[in-house]
Amino acid sequence: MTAHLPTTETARDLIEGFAFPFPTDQYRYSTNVEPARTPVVTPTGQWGDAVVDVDSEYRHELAERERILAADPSRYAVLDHMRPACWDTMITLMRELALARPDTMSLEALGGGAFVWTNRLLDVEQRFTLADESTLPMEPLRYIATQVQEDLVLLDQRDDDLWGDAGVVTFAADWSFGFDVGMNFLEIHGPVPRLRQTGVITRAREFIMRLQPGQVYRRTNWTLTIGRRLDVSTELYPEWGPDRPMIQTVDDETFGRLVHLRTEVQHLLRLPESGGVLFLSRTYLLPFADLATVEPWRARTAAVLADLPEDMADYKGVISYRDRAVAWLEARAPS
Amino acid sequence: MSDRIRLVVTAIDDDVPGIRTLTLAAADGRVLPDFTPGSHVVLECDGPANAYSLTGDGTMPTTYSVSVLEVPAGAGGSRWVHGLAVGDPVIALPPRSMFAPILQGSRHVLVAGGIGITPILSHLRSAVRWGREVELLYAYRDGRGAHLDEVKELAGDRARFFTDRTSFAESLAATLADQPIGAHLYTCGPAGFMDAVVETATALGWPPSRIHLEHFGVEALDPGEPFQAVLADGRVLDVPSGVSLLEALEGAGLDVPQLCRQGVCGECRVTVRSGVPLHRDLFLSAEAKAANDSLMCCVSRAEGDRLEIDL
Amino acid sequence: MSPPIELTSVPSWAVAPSVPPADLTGTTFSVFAFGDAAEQVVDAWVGALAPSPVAVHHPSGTGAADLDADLATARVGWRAMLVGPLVEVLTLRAHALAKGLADDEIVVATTSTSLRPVRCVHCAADTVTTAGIGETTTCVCCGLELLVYHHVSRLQGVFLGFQVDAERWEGPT
Repeated sequence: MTAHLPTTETARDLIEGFAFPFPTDQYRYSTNVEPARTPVVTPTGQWGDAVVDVDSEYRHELAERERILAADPSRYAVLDHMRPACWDTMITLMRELALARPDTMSLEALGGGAFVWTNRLLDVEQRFTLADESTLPMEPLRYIATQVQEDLVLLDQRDDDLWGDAGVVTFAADWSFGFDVGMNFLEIHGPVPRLRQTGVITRAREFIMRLQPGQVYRRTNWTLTIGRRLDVSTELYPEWGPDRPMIQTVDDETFGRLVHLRTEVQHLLRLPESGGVLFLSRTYLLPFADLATVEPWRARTAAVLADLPEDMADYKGVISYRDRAVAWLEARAPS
Repeated sequence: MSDRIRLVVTAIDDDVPGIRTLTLAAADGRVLPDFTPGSHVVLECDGPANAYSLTGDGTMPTTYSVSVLEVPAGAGGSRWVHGLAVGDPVIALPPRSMFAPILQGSRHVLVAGGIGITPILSHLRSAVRWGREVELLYAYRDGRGAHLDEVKELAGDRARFFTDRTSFAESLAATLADQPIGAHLYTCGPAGFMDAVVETATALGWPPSRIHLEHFGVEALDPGEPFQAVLADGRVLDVPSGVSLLEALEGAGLDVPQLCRQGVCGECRVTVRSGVPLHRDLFLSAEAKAANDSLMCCVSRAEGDRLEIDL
Repeated sequence: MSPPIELTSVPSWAVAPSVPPADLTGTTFSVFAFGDAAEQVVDAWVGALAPSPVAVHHPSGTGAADLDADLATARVGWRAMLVGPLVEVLTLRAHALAKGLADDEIVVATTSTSLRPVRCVHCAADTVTTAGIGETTTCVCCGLELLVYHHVSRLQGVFLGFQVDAERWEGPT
């Protein structure tokens, strides 16, 4: 078996902070953007009050990112012209981290473009000067990726389009950032069924191109993942692909512990100095076993999965075990 | 449109005849929202709101600066600015960027005509900060050149100044004929001036992707004309200029589904019973707009003075 | 199951041979022509652009060195026009884009689309194959059987390929 069977119980804060992605019993692609920084209250707790989220997986996920980057450097890329946008991103995320965790993190401006970044969770105190790479241990985008759990994609706006010209993506759900670097917005989304036909993706592009500094929006996306595996990139498909047939052979208890509802909370911000757009994607994984203990989540997830059209189920890679997932969830309905 | 910024005039500079430079600070003294080089800000004044380019530094700014040419025959915005005094309150909408420097550019040719120097000045500032290769051609009427000292200080010998049309036209053509691949052209000025710049560039084979214009008009959504919305129960709501139909409906206690409040997500679609909507959204297809039987109430308004809706 | 190609990142000229007219909005031109079938297109373009001077190259390699040489002295107004089989023009276009040329400064014509370059997303090697979109080919490097996907990287000039039969489970290991 390749999937990692969790040996411990899911940490309390991962259940309380889980971003449940389904507002209704039917899921279709939509331009489901909404203003960020507003908490969403759920049956277990809440999520969404901060743009960047630090939870009990912080150190573990950052270590995981380093391991992935060491094994495959193509998960990080910066086209030359994105240098100002990388600085913009680093400063923006340091401010957001300080807002989210004022008890342990701060960004202090010392004047003349000098700053000091403090992160007591990682024992970091870093002095640096804006636009001077020699004052940081590494390039600014790469550096901030050692401080946030979010995956980062920077979009350049030019020629009436958006271009994915830089990023650090270690927790991709079945796409390859390294392959997509330098593509425009419609090209990046070309493989996703229905997006173009329904106009969803062109509207999203228009919306993002009009985004102004200071405005922050968010949306969610979701899929199912077998095992608590953050890196389900296309690159590693030979590793995680066999989990899909495997999951059909396991007993019910293992099924519930292995199959995870995966939510990506995605934030969009305009970077003020460079004019670029920062796309943040934070991945949350919740085992079905935990999901099923929250009745509204259990019932809704079963309904959404049962209703999902074939092409969407196929693209999300859940088609082979969707029926089992629905049956598993329905069997746990309160009698 | 609840995110208006309350400003106060902290300084006025009338050194250049007919051009007034305003320095504005937050009424509560706080740092103002960041802005991208080339951004403009919409100031609310008597009559229609006007957009003015921000000339200062956009990173954690404590003041906004705008320079306004007096247009006696204009719509009134410039006369209003020229009537302001230090200490007067000014309401602004947050800065909007529609004329940003192209990060990919390896060289930036800035061409300003008259008061069109204003957004170009913030481009120049950003180019200096990031070490971008830059060149500026600035044409103005003798004695009427705004920000001359600032431009000279920032650009040094990379700026050239023109007060007669012939030498400007010759220099422009020579400059545009000799730019390496990777260069981008930015121009701002009166419409006729920009037309001439674009015409020169196009004749020299410049592709559209390398030519960037800043129009003075408000490309952001303007506050719109006031109208009345008639509800299904017969109630009549006033929708003043600067207030969206969605805000008016919410104010009347209606719970309208909504998400983005920018005409994109499609949540706040409202059925129209009579009257003609003024569509300003990105959601409805051209067909759906032409049908005139629904509108996105967060941004769209009425073409006339009344709109009957199914709510 | 591929969606309509115009809704993907695959350029239409990568699916079927396609010859657009010369770009008359430029002022100086370089043509990079690959293979005998390109000659007819070169003649048509040079004729249409007359009397503007056109530098015509017949690169023996990828053409990157020829393009770099012209680019070094080119001024805005220059157009790069590429014509030849898909593999060659896709590769040279990627190089031109990486060098900062804009889409509206590059004209691409394909004389043949029967071979396409496929990037193995698992080992990063490129395989040139006759397999069409939605068909499979064997990676020349790692040997995995790759699905040729309806996704093209403009900067790398390749189709995406990933293992077609990864979802196999042969029992507990």
